[in-house]
Amino acid sequence: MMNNKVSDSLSKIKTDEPSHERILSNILETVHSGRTPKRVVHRPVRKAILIAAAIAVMTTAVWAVATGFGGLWFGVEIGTEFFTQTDKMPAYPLSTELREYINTTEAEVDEIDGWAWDTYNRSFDSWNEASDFFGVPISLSTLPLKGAVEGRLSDFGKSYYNEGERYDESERYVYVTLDATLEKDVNCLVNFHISNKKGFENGMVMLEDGQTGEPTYYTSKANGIKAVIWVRTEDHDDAGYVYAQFIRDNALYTISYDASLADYGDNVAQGLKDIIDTFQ
Amino acid sequence: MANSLLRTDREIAELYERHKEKIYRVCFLHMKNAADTEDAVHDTFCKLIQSGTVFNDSTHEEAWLIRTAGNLCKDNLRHWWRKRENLEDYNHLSGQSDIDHTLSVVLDLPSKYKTVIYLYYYEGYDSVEISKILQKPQSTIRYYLSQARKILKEQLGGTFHDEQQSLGFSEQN
Repeated sequence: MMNNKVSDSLSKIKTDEPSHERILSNILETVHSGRTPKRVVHRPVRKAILIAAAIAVMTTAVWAVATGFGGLWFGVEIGTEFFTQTDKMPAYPLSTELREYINTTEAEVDEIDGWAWDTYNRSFDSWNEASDFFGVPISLSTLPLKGAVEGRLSDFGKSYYNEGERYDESERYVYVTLDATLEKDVNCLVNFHISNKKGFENGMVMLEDGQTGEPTYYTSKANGIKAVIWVRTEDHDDAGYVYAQFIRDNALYTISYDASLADYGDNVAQGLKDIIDTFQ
Repeated sequence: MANSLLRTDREIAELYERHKEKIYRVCFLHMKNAADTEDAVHDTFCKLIQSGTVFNDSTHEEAWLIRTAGNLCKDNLRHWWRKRENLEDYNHLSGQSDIDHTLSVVLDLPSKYKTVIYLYYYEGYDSVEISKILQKPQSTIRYYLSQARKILKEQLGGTFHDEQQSLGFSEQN
């Protein structure tokens, strides 16, 4: 017996023939050429961004003409300000290097053949609950942070798949999410990585079999840090590193923190403390 | 089942024909718009074709595709760029004109529940079958169903008919 309401709604997901013909045609093209064909349909989000960008350019142009080009500089300034505050990469000298690094990382991740990560999210209502789950003490009290800082530990991934097959049931990943609001305005890029004892290489998380894992990086908001730390805990006796990078005031800050994953809770907490202390 | 690396165009077309509706719906539940769904469906089938996996039968093949489609969609949604985009802002671009309230609630379910809900309510699989397809413990599937149904009940109120008994488990989950 099925719930008709849900079933009926699911049946409203249309799968029209032209769409299927397009997909099949693309599949065959990919198989024959070895390359993914250019998407026939623009991604809606990309399209929306392009439209927004076009409107912004036209608005600035009209403004520039109306104010005898005096407004053009103002528009540029506003644009610069916007992107330095909200874009993922501030316009600092090292940003190019880091952008390349991120792009490389993205590309390499995309090329991982047959790998699909399966993540089960698990949220904890309290640090106590998280401590119980991980079996190690971890709490905000272990993060004696200045300013208004809120932290939460969330998201639990426990396995991954290789070509649809469960790779290792004991494989576990822990995502430590930190939402920090700092007293000072911070304009930075944050990269957090955990590597196992195979080492940290070119910004990638190296797995034991040589495969690369997805790094995690978040950009700060105007006055805070949003960060996710990715911890691999398959081998609890693995030595690992919390690796974080920030760009602030034209300088690249790098923190590499030893984190024996046997008691990763404490070490990650300490790593977070060190990271936050950098900004106090 | 032919080895995927040796498939002809006709075999690929037949393979696609066998599973297209199901995989499309699974992908749409995750991606929420037609364009990204098409990409995800494309990638799922390409992965199968390139994987060289040999399947015992069509059921095995279907289960593989459903799992891989879900995982690929989750990968895509975890992409850093997408994390910064609120896709809810682009609902009008979903390519689906008749998304009703129930479907929008289903689309908003946490990712891990969606495939399970789809297989249970639309395809009519029971929790034992779903556990085999997704290669997850039965208790996990029942827990997912229970949690998803709790959300649906909260969101849909009286319009959602609770069928706890039909799952063959009680509140211990």
